[in-house]
Amino acid sequence: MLARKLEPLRVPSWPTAQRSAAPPEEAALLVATAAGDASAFRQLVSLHLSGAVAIARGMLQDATEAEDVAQDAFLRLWRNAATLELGPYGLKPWLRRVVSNLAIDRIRVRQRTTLTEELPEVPVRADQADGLEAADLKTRVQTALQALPERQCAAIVLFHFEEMSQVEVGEALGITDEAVESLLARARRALRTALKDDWRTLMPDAPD
Amino acid sequence: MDELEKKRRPGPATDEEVAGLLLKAAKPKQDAAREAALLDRIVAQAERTPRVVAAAPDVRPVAASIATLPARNVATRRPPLLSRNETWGAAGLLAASLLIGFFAGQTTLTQTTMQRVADASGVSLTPATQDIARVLAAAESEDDD
Repeated sequence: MLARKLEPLRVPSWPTAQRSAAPPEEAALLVATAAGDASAFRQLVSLHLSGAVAIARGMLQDATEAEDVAQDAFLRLWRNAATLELGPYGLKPWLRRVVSNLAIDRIRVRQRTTLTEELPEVPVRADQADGLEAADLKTRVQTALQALPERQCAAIVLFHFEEMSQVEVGEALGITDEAVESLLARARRALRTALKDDWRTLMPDAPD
Repeated sequence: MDELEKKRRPGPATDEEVAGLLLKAAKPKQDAAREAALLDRIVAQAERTPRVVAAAPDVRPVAASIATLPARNVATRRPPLLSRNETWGAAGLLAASLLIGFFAGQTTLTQTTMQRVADASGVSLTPATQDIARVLAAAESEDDD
């Protein structure tokens, strides 16, 4: 039983040319963290905190929730540092996967809550429509992202915000490259439809 | 190919281009101060969190730190106080003494025996002992009636 608990968590690695190798000090920091060294843990967190928060914030569109997700992910790292085995790309693939899954869990909970609390649709008055027209593009894109199914949202955020390759997105979400491609295609189509006027403004010369 | 070139390029915009532009406009900004505070919070929380610790394989007890204590001469199991036969004998003796006491109490010999013992030993019976003898004798006579 004990042996099973302590079985190393292998970080999968995919051979891609674009990906950068792990920083050389990362393995040493992980070993020190596993031994309970809080300052090594701090360095490890500071290496990856921005990336983790960015992924979570892109998916959740909420800074506070994103910080909670990042904190949860790093606490998992602290608890399990002794059982983690790094691949050639270091901690990043493991961390991306944990953060993505935690964010997806939160989106699911949020969508469930939204469904139960859904109010009847009220027709928009003309003056309100003017106000909506004037709303910030950023807010509208965020709203459109939140309306996507959680995996589509995760895929598009990881690909476009974090500039990951399809392989890396698949690694983070635990799905194949082909599945990522399909998720991205559906998400892009949905965004294009939902934000037709906005992208027309951004690309005025582009025909349909 | 930069975005301006893409804008000028004839032909329909791909979904990827559209999504890329839209998401670029909505990309959250990094907040360094918030992240620094979050870093402190995570480390503080981690230090209060129980965790799995790997036992280092090369760590062995230092010989000088080990004191050799004399082995304790303790039998693994204490031997019984009485053997099996002795136990039965003791039980029989106890039962016999109980029976003797019972029958002695049932006879009229109590008072006379006490007097004889007192005479023989030269010990005078105190009023208390005489009272006891009298009570016992009265009880015996009532039983006889």
